Amino acid sequence: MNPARQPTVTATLLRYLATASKHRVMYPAEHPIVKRAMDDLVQVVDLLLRDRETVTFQIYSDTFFLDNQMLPEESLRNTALLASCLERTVGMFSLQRGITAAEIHAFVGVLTATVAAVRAAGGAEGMLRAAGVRHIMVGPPKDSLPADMPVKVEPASAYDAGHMVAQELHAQAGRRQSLDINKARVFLSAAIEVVLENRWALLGLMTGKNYDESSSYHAVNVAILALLVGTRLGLERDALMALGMGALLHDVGKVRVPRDVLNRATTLSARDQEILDRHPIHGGDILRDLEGLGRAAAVCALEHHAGNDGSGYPRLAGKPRPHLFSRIVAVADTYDTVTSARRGTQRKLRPDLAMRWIAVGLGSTYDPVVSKVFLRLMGAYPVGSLVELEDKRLALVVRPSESRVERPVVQVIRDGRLADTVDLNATTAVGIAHGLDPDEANVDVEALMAQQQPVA
Amino acid sequence: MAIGGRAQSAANVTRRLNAAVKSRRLYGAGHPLRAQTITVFLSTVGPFHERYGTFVLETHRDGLILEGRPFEGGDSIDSLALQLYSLGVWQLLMLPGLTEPEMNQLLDIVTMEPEAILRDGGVRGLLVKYGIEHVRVLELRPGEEDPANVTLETYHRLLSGSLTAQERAALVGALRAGPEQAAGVLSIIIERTKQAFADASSPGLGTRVYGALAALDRVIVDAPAADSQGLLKNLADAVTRVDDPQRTMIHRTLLQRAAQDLSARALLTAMTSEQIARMVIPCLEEGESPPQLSQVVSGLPFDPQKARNVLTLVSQQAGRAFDLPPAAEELRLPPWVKNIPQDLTDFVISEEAVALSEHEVQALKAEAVVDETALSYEHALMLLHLVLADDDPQELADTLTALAADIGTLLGRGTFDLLGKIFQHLEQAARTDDRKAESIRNTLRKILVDLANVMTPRDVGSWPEDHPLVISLRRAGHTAGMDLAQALSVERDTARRATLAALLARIGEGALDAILPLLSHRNPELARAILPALVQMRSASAMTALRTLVRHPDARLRKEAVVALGPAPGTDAQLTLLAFVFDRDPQVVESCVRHLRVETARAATMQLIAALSARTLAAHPFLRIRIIELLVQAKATDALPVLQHLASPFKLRRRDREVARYARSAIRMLEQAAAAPAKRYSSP
Repeated sequence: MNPARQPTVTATLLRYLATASKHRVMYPAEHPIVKRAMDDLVQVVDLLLRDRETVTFQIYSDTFFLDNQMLPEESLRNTALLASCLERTVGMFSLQRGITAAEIHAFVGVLTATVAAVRAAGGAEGMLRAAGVRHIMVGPPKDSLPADMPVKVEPASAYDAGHMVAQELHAQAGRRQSLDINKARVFLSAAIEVVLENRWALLGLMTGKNYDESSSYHAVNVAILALLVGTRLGLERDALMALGMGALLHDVGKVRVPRDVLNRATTLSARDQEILDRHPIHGGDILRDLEGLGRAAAVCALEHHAGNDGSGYPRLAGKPRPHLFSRIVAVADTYDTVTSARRGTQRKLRPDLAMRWIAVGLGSTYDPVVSKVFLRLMGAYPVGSLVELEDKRLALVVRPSESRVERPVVQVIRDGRLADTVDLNATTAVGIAHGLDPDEANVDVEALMAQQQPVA
Repeated sequence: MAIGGRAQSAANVTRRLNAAVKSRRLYGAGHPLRAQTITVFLSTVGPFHERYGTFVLETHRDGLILEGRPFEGGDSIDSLALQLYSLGVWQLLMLPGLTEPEMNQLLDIVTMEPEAILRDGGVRGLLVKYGIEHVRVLELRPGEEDPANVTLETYHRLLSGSLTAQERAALVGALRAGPEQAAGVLSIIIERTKQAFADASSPGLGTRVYGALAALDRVIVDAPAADSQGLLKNLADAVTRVDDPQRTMIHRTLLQRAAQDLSARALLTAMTSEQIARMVIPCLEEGESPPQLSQVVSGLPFDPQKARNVLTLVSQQAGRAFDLPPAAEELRLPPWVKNIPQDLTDFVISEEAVALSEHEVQALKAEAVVDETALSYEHALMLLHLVLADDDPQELADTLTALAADIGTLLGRGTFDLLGKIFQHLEQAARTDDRKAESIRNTLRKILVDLANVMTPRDVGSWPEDHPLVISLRRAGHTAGMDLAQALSVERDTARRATLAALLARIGEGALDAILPLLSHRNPELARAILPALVQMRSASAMTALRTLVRHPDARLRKEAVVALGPAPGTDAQLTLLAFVFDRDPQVVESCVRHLRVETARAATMQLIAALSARTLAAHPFLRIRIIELLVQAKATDALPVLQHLASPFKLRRRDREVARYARSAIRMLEQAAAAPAKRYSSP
């Protein structure tokens, strides 16, 4: 079986199932649009079952799983399908080889029948059996993942899900709608799984995704960096979820800052700067009414610019320093902001200079311990840094070394491609001479990172 | 085959619908044709529903689409299509069961002014509002969207940065597809701009379209990196060859904005020199130094070569010579870019500087508590900061409501120390910011009432002096006192009233000013409620306040004051009690005398003597007897003359004779007492 194909077909299956269900609700069964959608669905099911006996989708905590693989992106793209399943108490469906088009039609019929009709037929299973379906099994939803189930998540899928969620949450905030925090949970659950499995997997994906500090990528990047610090501190899942939520939504208040101020290429007047500096307050207002762990998000949104020593904004009366999560988000936010290229200025700080920027503010603007954890995690030359080794070779940092911040694992660049891997911590023969600006060195770091295989 | 019959049937329904819409527009209310066209329509759509189910009408800017094919129905049908399309309706679905009243309502909606419809949340919002269950609209094409299908509502969402994921994907898809498709999107966006804004005519068009371009640019910023540059290039290309008679307005605005706006710069950067020159030449103004050229230079601060190329091209094609204007622009550079200090470049992150102990990590981890109480605590503090920083009255009111709810939760869990901070800062804010004062005071009152809900007077009384809540209440002093007093004045529940009074007592002296008016309130219950608080305060001011009750018209209240004062320790309370000795109500005096201690009687002999001979007590022998007893216990020999006057055996009234008997006995005892100490003190 080709492992790379599987998620694609999976994604297509869920999408086609969603489309077929949607069209079936809107049009009569014999309408050409419905027929086409059903034909597509039958084809993709056939494709998926060609190299396996059965394919089982399960739903845990508003997320689709294919066997034990979490599908965050697909879950977010097909929320209506997910809701249809749960409303009809379908928490699992398993398609087996030998399935017929009529059986697929019957399954779509179950998903589009009224809830009352499904209930009257004795549930989804009863309805399928009454229709003579033998190759589709359904089961009820379960509250949580089985404790012994090892969860796999594609890092790229988690990252893209984060981007999707960040865009949607910002759009909802812009429309002054209530935020769909469950979607953020789907992304964060996936990101936490990835970070716990391989701390550096998402870091590589972030490289090159920092085009503009006001893009949705910024929110996702800050969330990932904050989760990295959180895992290093050994935070529990609940705390990681709260921290991630705070990081993902820390800049949501910017939706209430006039666009011409955000988009200004020239120095802001004092008045405009004041308007911009109110975004933490807007963020607090937007997130004020969130419940549960979402409350930490409101705190982060308000406090992420307050400064560890209270020198920032807004002033936090009666509080010696911001909340731990806000202090973590502040460091992560700074790193991603200074390494992002605002298109109007076309300049950004090199990752290694960004780390020095944070090291300089250690103890004053930034919490000293959080900064140290961050510096140790990322290293003096973070993943994606382009460096020149002492022997004049160019190299790309692919993994930091926590024991020696200046001696990460690098991959030497030869003929525009990544070649030998050198663990600078293990060898004393060579070290990093200095960092380089990829634009000045004419090296496409993002393309190189895409070549690089994740280092476990 | 079935579809063919269906198409014919659908066409009939559409024609009838159009007739109904037309008659609604042409004829006034009550005209028979209005009702008739609806009846005809319903009689046509009914059989369609029976045979084929839902009737779906799809709109396009150039006409209606029925059963997947353009519907040729003449001008009036096109007009109906445009009407629906301009309202952002892509599909109109009529479900089986459509009723006549629903149809009437629907016709009212589709013949409304577009602005009015959009104001009310679009056609979809109005359908919900009027409860039209059998008609639905789709504002977006599901699945593969037609990129040119930017409805008016989508356009507004684009401007406000709140596009749905599908809309965003559709726009990105269209921009990605190539310059032609991008030009199509831009064309419809310009069209929507004209539809949406009345001022989008000659002078205002450029600004409005630029607003939409900047919004499109934000969509591009959020597209994946690999796409981003390509999308921008396609959009830039579309901008340079925009097909609109007023394109000069759009180009002129773009050039003006390039000096200061990121989106304009990004577009200019994505254009070639030739494209920019083509855009600039028609915009050139008369005069020596057309501003457009300096705008180009300002908009390309990082590519001076391109700016020079543009100037050369413009100069060649316009046949005029221009000097290169200075790029005198001030970049909004963040501090980490403006001046990267050499020491930052030289800075070395040493192992020692980032040395980290496990103890430090554990200390941080311990801060990460996310249970409900910890989160509520942090959230409440966050709300406090929001209150202090927020200027928007509505946001302030909402934040205060949320804050009161948080505190309610925390109080229920016994977390009191936060209240001190919140009181202190809110009180300060209420004093210094008049705009916020009233809302803040209302919230403070609500919090205090909440506090009274979860506490009993006994709880409040049992708090030690260093209890966080006592400390916080005292800090908030006057304000908390005022708020508690006001809460008390409207409180009807006796138990809560008692708790509020107990809280007032714990504030102490600071609350006195606030509660004094309650003593003379026309509702004596309020004065009654605060009596224990005043007694508990024990201060001189509190006692003075209690003394004023002597003049209170309600004897029951005066008696309760006495009863409250009676057991209070200290001489101040006893001296206050003495003020009631002359009360016109003997029951009050009786209660007072019963609570007077011997030392007090000794100190206030003259007052007791005066009371003994007061006319108000003449009819109350037992009271006079009690006073005599007190005087004897106090060994008040000064009372002998009065007692001798009372002791006469020739009293006429029986009650006086009884008093006389006690007086004689008292005289005897006082005389003995007077002799005894003399002996004792005279001993060597």
